[in-house]
Amino acid sequence: MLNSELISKVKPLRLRARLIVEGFLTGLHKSPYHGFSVEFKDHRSYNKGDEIRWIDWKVYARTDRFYVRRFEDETNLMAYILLDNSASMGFVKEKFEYAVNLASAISYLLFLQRDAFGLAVFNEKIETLVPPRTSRVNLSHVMSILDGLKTHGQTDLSSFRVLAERLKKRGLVVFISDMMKEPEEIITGLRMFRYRKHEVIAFHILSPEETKISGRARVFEDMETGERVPFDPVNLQSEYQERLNSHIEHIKKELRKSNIDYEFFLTSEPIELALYRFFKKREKLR
Amino acid sequence: MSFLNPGFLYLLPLVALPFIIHLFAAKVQRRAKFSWVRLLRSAQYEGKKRRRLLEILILILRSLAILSLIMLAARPFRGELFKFRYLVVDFSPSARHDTSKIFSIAEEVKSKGLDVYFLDDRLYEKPVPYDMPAHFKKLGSLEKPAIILSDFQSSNVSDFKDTSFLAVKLRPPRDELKILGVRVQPGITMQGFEASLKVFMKATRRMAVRLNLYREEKLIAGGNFEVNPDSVNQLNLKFIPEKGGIWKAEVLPLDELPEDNVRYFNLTVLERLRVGIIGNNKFIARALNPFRIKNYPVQVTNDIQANFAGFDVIFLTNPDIPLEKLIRVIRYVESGGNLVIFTDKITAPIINALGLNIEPVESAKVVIEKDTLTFPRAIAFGDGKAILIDSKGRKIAVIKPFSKGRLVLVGLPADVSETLFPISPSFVPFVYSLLERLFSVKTNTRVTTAGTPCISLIDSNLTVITPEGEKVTCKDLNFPKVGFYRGEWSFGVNLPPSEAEERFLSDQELDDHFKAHTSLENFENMLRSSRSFTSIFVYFLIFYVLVESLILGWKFRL
Repeated sequence: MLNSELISKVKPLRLRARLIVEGFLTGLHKSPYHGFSVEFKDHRSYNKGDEIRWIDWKVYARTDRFYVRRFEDETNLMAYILLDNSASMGFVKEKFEYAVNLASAISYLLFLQRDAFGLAVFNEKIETLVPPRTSRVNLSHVMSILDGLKTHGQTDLSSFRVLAERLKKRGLVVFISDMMKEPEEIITGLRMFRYRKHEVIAFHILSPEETKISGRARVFEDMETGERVPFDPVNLQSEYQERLNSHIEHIKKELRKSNIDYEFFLTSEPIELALYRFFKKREKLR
Repeated sequence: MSFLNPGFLYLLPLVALPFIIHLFAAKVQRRAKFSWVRLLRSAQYEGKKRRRLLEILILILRSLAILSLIMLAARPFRGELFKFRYLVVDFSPSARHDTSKIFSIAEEVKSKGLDVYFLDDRLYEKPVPYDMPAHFKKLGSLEKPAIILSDFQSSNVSDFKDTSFLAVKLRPPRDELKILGVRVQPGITMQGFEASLKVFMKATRRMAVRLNLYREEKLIAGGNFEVNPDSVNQLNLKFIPEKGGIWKAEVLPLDELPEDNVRYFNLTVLERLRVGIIGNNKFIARALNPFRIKNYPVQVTNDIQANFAGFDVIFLTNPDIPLEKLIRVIRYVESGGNLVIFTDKITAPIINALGLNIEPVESAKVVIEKDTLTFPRAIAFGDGKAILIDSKGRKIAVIKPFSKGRLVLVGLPADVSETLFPISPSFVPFVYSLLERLFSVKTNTRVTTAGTPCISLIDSNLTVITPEGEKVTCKDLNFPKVGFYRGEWSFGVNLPPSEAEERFLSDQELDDHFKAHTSLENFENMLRSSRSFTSIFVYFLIFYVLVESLILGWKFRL
């Protein structure tokens, strides 16, 4: 696995994404395919050379013959990456960078799986929308967009309604955000995709500076609304952390209620490790 | 509550510093961006409720800590501030006799005092010569306490009783030789000296001493001296010098002689006033020179006949003298002589001869019969411009000037016979006062000796009017407060009459006196109180540091 610092220094985003993906795939030691494809299709007879893990043992028990499970064609998967570029994502440089890297890694992974993937960059509106494609050109296009993104505006998930309506075919929605917003708004926004039978994965990204505020008392100004609040981190650290944890737990709980996969990423954690952790978990769930 | 260093109390406003910093810091907080302040606000709202009380408590604690620091510097204590301001150094011969390093001792006391006793920075040093109590009074009755560096030999401790002082005895006398403040005044007579010696011997329970007299450290006379407390033995005192100066008298026991038993007497012989008396009135002579001492300041010659010019003042006790003598008296007065007439009556020829122009006031009970002016109970006082008044202050007559000389007419009550003269115990000081006031002669008779009437009895209505028209009574004449205290001999001129029965202090009483009037006890109390306050503040500061450390540890999860 490559050093995560080294990866972050790699300029071309595409290469960076590749390094990340290959890094965590090396860790997995498993086929990259079927990573996101969860749609079961049918069985076929076991042939020599097939992986033993795809043998359906229940069928074997009934028929006394080996059958392997086959999944729906990967090209059938339409994946949308929803990336939050509101001002709060730029709280520290690393935070948005992390989100962009995550988005690019997932794009690259989907590309490797020959899944169609698209990108929607949003703040108070859908700022950029790239329809899902499987082509390499699409990958380049997505990468170039991700590379030039800047944070601004407020987070507003009401535009997801329109977006959800536009996604006709069931697919995968990868939501990447710091979720620094009222939990109900986030949950409502993501549920819109669930109503459309999309599978939704929410990546919650926060920087360590947000989870533990350091320094002396000062007036904190909201990066999105401009609202000011005097706050003493020394005295109120525990209360803040309590609130933050409660905020995260609430989102997590509500999302899981709606069968939305939730994963919390702290930017201090190497991205490939975080992805590895995520896929391992998904693998277990499957 | 008082403070040893009250200057530090000016720092008291600093107590508000934690609150000011708290308010100021809240206003000048730096700004910072944050992704979502809603969480902060919610945390703050939650935390504020819990922490407000703690915050206020911490601020109060910090203020109290500053207050404690200020108090530690200011050093509070219960009671009044007690600072020594004066260091009085007794520089009398007795004190410096065997203590040539008196000033080095003074320096030591001063430096120690500054460290130990918190002497005022503005410390006054004033060497006090002989008359220590008088100088002591000059220091302004010492509103502030003093350290007195003295051997307490020539001063009665009661002289210091109104002042808080720390007595530093240069040379503590031995118990058996303790000298109890007997003072010998300038102009002491032989009898006075003897009496002083006698008092000393009684106090030290010695019946026989050897007396050595020195002048400028040179022994000039000496001899055994035995004293019968009930009598006066003058035989061995004949060598008392006629000339003045400072003399050292060593009063030594006959058997074993302690070296430090040395006293000093100031035997100053003053200018003498030559008084001549016409009429051989022994009472007048007795009053002026009670023991007919040759070297007494007032030298009296009885019944002078011829040479009036050799006298400073002539007392005429009976104006009924031959004309020839009267003419000589007149010439004496006209040539600048001073005449005092003591009489109860005066005849017209004498009045005329003296050139007196007496104009009796009609209302006065002056009896004039057969050319004789008889005074009621009255005295006259004047120097040629006097008003003759009676004892109740009523004007009797006006005496007009008649010559350049001075004349005093002392009217005596007509019913008093010569044998009872002087009729008033205040007569002697009155006469001395006359001499001083009228003839500008310093009789220096502030000390009287055995047999002198007690001034405490001066409460007669003797009233005189001075040439300036000032009305004075004997009480105002500032007569010396001398004492003839019920058979006891005393020379303490500053002893007030009310304390006439004052006896010499016993050793225990002396110690008690020092304890009562020295500041040591007060001072110890002051320091003890200050120390207890200091402990309280130190404990509080330790408590504060612990609390503050706990809070810091809790904040930063140390």
